[in-house]
Amino acid sequence: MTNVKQALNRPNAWLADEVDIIVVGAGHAGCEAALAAARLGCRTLLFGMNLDVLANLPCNPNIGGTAKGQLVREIDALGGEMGKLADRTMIQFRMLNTSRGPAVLSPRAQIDRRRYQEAMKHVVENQPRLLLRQGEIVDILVESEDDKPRVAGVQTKTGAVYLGRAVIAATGTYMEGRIIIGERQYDGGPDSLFPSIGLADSLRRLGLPLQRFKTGTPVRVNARSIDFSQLERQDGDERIVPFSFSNEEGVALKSDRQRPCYVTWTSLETGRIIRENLHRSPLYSGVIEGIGPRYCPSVEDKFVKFPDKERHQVFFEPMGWDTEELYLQGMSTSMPEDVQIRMVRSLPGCEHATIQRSAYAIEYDCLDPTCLKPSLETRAVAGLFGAGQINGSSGYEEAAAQGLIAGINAVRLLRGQEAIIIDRSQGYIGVLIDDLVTKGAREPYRMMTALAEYRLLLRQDNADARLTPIGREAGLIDDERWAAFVARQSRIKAEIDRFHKTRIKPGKQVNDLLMQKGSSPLKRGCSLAELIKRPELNYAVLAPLDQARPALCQSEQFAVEVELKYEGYIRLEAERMAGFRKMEKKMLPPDLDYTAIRGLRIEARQKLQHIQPVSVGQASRISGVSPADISVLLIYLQALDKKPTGGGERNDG
Amino acid sequence: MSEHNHQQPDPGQNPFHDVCAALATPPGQSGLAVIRLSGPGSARAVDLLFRPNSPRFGPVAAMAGYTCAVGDLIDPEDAGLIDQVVITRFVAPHSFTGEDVVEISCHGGVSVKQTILDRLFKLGVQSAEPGEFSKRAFMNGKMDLAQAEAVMDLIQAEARRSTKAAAAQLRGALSGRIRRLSDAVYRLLAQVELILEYPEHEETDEAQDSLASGLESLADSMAALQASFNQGRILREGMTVVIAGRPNAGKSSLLNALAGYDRAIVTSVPGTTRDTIEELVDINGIPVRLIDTAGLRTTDDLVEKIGVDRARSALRQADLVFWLASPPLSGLDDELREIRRVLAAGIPVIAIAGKDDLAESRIIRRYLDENLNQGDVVAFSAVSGEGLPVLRRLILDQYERIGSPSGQEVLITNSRHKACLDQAAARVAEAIHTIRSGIPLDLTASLLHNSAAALAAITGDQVSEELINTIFSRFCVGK
Repeated sequence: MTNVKQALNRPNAWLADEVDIIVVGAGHAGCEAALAAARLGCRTLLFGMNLDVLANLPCNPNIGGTAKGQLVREIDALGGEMGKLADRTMIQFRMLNTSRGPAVLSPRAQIDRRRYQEAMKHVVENQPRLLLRQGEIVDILVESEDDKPRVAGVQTKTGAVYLGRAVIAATGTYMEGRIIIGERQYDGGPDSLFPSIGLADSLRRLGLPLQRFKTGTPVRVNARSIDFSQLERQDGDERIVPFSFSNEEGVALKSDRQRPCYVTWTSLETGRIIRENLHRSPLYSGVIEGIGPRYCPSVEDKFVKFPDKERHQVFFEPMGWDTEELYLQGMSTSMPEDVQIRMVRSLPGCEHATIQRSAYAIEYDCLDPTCLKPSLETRAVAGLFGAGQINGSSGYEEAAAQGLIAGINAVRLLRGQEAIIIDRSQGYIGVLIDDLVTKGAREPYRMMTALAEYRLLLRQDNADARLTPIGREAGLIDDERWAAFVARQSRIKAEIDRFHKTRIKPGKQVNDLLMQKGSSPLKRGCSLAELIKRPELNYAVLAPLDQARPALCQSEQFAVEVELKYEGYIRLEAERMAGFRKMEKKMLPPDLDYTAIRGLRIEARQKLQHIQPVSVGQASRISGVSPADISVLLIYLQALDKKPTGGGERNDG
Repeated sequence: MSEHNHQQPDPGQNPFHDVCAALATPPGQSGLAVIRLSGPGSARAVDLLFRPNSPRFGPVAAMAGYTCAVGDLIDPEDAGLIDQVVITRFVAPHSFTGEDVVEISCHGGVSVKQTILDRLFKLGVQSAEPGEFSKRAFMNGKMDLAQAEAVMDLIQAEARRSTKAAAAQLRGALSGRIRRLSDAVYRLLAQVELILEYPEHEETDEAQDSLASGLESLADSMAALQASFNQGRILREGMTVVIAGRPNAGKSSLLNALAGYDRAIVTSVPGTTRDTIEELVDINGIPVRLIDTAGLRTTDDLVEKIGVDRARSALRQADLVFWLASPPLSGLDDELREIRRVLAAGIPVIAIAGKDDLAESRIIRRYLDENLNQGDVVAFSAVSGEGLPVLRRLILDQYERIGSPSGQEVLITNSRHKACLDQAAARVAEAIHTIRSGIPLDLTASLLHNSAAALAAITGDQVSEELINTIFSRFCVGK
C-alpha cells in the first residue's frame, strides 16, 4: 500500500488538489455517488477516463424492466438522478406485466444513449461543489490509523495526487479489462475504450479480495440494411408513466412520437452456423476464465445448453433519435467477427444486414463484495467505498442504486453520522446490497423480483412512500419536493379512508353496472373498499357509483387501488415483515470475535468472522450459519448485555 | 355468471408464527402428559380447540395467570372430541419462558398427544426448535448468566441430535419423495417467475398455459404423501384397535382374551369400564394398541358420561374397530346406527356377535349380516375362545392393508415433517385458487414461495438459490 508521502516521491508526482470525497469512475454508479455527495455539501471530485462516455450505456439501450424499473423508482424516491434523466431521454416506454399483479408491474424505457450521456454530463457540470476531471486513477493512497489503513487520496496515471477523506471506487468493467472476440483477445474496456491498468493491484495491496467476472454485449446493425417487413413490430405504450415522482405524466415524451422495437427469431441456419463454428468460440475453447452471468448467456450458449430448442428470440432496439444503429438483444456472442456476420445475416430480414459494431465478451476484475459493509464501505480500508460493477453486480440500475447509497454514506462517514442502510423490507436497493455483502456474488448479480421476500410491499407505485422519508433524512429531498410528497401521501390516505367509509347499497343502477362488468350483483350493502377487491373491478370502473370522488392524478388513483385491492395480502406480508425487522434491529457489536463464542459450530464461526454482520438478521442469511447458531448468538448477546460494564470488578494485578 | 368468492386466500402468513409448542413431558406412553405452548397468541390458539366444561371458565385468553380450566379439546375439522384436558394459564411475564404460556394436561396415549400437536400445528403454531423454551426463557431474562452457556451448549447438542434424527428419517425413499416434491414446486415456481421476470420471453405463454395442470398434479402428489402419515404412525406407534359396543357386551372379556390376561375388571354390572383402557399387545410381531371403551349408551352418571365421550373420541382415532354386539336384542338398531357412523368416517368395522353360548347371538349374527354388508360377522366366545384366531387374522389383514409399506410406498412419519408438508400443500391449493379465479400471478408466486419455504424446512434448501438455479437451467433467457 502507498501513503501520500510515497506517492508524492514518485517521478513527476505533484499535489493537485484536496477535496472531501473522490469518486473513481463516471458511470452510473460514479455519477449518482458524486451528485449525492456534492448535493449533501461535500466538495467532491469525479474522475472519468473519458468524459465523452460519462454515464455510458455500453450494452442495452434501455433503463428499467422487471426489478430494475423498481430500482429506478427507488433511486428517484431517494433523490437520485437516473429516473429524471431517463424521463428526459426516453424514445419508447412500456409498462411490463400489466396483467400480472402490482408487485411485478415494471416500467421500462428505451433510451437515446447519446442524449442520456449528455444530459448526465450537463447535470454533473452544473452541480455546485462537484468537480469533473478526465483522468485514470492507478493508486488508492492510505495512511495508517490505529493499525488500520484509512483512505487518504488517489494518484492518477500522470502522477497527480488528489487528497480526499473518502474514496468511492466505481470502476465498472474497466479494471484489467480484456476484450474477447473469437480467437482475438486484447486489453481493453467496453466500447473500444482503454482499460484501467494497475488500480486492481493497488486494491489487492490494500488486502481487498478480487475476482474476475465476464460479461458480453451483442452486435449492433444499421437499420437501413434491415428489411423490417419480415419482422414483428413492437410499439410503445399509449400511456407513458414517468420514472420520476417529480415528473407529470405526459411531460417526458408524447406517445405518438415513440420509436418502435422489432422482434424476430433465429433461423435453422443460425443454429447450424453456431454449431459448426463452436470450436472457434472462446467460451468453449477455454480461453475465457471469467465467470459470466447465467441470465445473460451468449447465443451459442443457448444453442448448446438447450439443444431441443430450434430457435431463439431476437429483439431489435433503436439506440437513439439521431442514429440508425440497432442493438440486437439475443445475439450476444464471443464468436469471431466473420461468424458473427453470417449469424446475423441468417436472421429473417437481415440477409443484407451491415454490422456497425461487433459483439464482444469482456473480462474484468471486481471485488468479492463480502469485503464490504452494508454501507458499502470496505471493512479493510476505512473511508474506501465500492459501488456498481466493482461490487460484483451488473446493470445500470443496480450500479446507480449502489452509487447513490455509497455517496450518501461516504458523506455520513465524514460527518460521523450513522450509515443509512435500506433493509430488505424497504426496497430492492436493500435486497441488492444485502445479497451482495452477505452472500457475495459468484456471477455478475442482476436484480430480480424473485429475490425479494416482500415483493408485494416493494412496488414501483409506492417507492416514494417507502424511501422518500429516508431521502429526506439523508438530505437529498428539498422542501418543495418534500411538501409535494407529503401532500400526495395524504391525498392517497384520505382516499383509502373514504373508500372504507363509503357504503354502496344494492340497487338497479349499481347491479346493472356490476353485471355489465361481469361481476355478481350486490345482495346487501357494502363499502367501496370491499367492492374494489373484486378481481374484475377497479378504481376507474367504479366511478359511476362514486360521485363524490376527489380529483386524483392517475398514479395516485393507482396507488389507492393497489392498497385497497391487495389490502389483505399486504397486511399479511407486513406482519411477516415485522418479524424480519425484529431480527434486523438486533445489532451485533462491530469487531466481535466470533471464534471465541462457544456453542457456535466451526463453520459458522469462520463465516461470521469473515462477513462481520451488522445485525442478527444479516447473520441469519449467511450461508453456513444455522438457526441453532443464531440461537447461540442471541444468547451470547444477551449475556454480553448482562455482563457488568466498567473495569471495577476485574483486578488486573 | 358465477358467484364470486371475494375471500382472498391466506397467502401463508399466520397469526401464530411466534407461538411454539412441544411436548413438555417425556415421549412415549404415560398416564398423563403436558403439552406446552409459548409465545404471544398461545391462548388464542388454544381457544380455537378448547371448549370449557363450564361457562364460568370463559376463553383461555381471558383466564388469569396461574388458573386452570377443565374442558374438551375439539378437532376443528370434524368437531369431534380429541381428549378431555386441563388447561393451565400463565400470563407474561410470569411464566417459565417469560411469555404467555398455556399448558395442556392431556391423557398420555401416544396418539392423543400426537393429535393435539398436529391440530395446533395446523393452526399455524410452530413446532418448538431444540432448546426453544430454554432459549425464550433466557431471552426474556428468566435465567441467570450462569445458565446461559449451559443453554447454548444444550441448543447445539439438541440440534445435532435432531439433525441426526431428521437425517436418518430423510434417508432413502422418503428423502427422494420429498426431493421430488420440492423439485416440482421449484419447477412450477420457476415457471411463474419466468413469466413475471421475463414477460416478453418466448416461452412465457406456454409457461402460463401449463401452470394450472402442473399445480394440480403437484397437489395430488402432496396429498398422497400426506395420506401416508397415518401409515407411518401405525408403523411407529402400533395399530389401534378399538373395542366398542353397548355396556356389558363383553368388551373387557374380548380385550382380555386378545391380550391373554385379565387387564380390565370384568364384571356383569353394565358400565364397569367407565374409562377407556389401553393395552399394548404383540400380535404376530405387530404392535397393536387395544383400546377397550366404556359402553356406549346415554347415561346420567357424570363419570360414566365422560367415559362414553372418551369412547367416541377413541373410535375416531381407531385404525380398526371391533364392534361387539350382544344380547339383548332390544336396541340393536341403535347399534347399527353407531356402526354406520364409524364406517362413514372411513374406519373399518368388524362386527362381532358375542356370547355365542346364548341362542340369541345367532339371531344377532344374521341380523348384522343382513344389514351391514360388512363381510362375515365373527362369532366370539370368551369362554371357549371361539373366534379369537379369526380376529387375530383380521387384525393382521388390516395391518397388511394400511400399515405395511409395499415396495414403492414411502411413508412420512415425523409430525414436524407432516406439519411442513401440510403447509406446503395448503399453499399449493391456494395457488390453484388464484389461477382459477383470475387473481394476478404475483400472488400465485408468493404462495408458491411459501410452499417452497415449507418444504425447505424439511430439506434445508436455500429457497432463492434453488429457484434461481431452476429458472436458469430450465429456461433459456438472456440477451
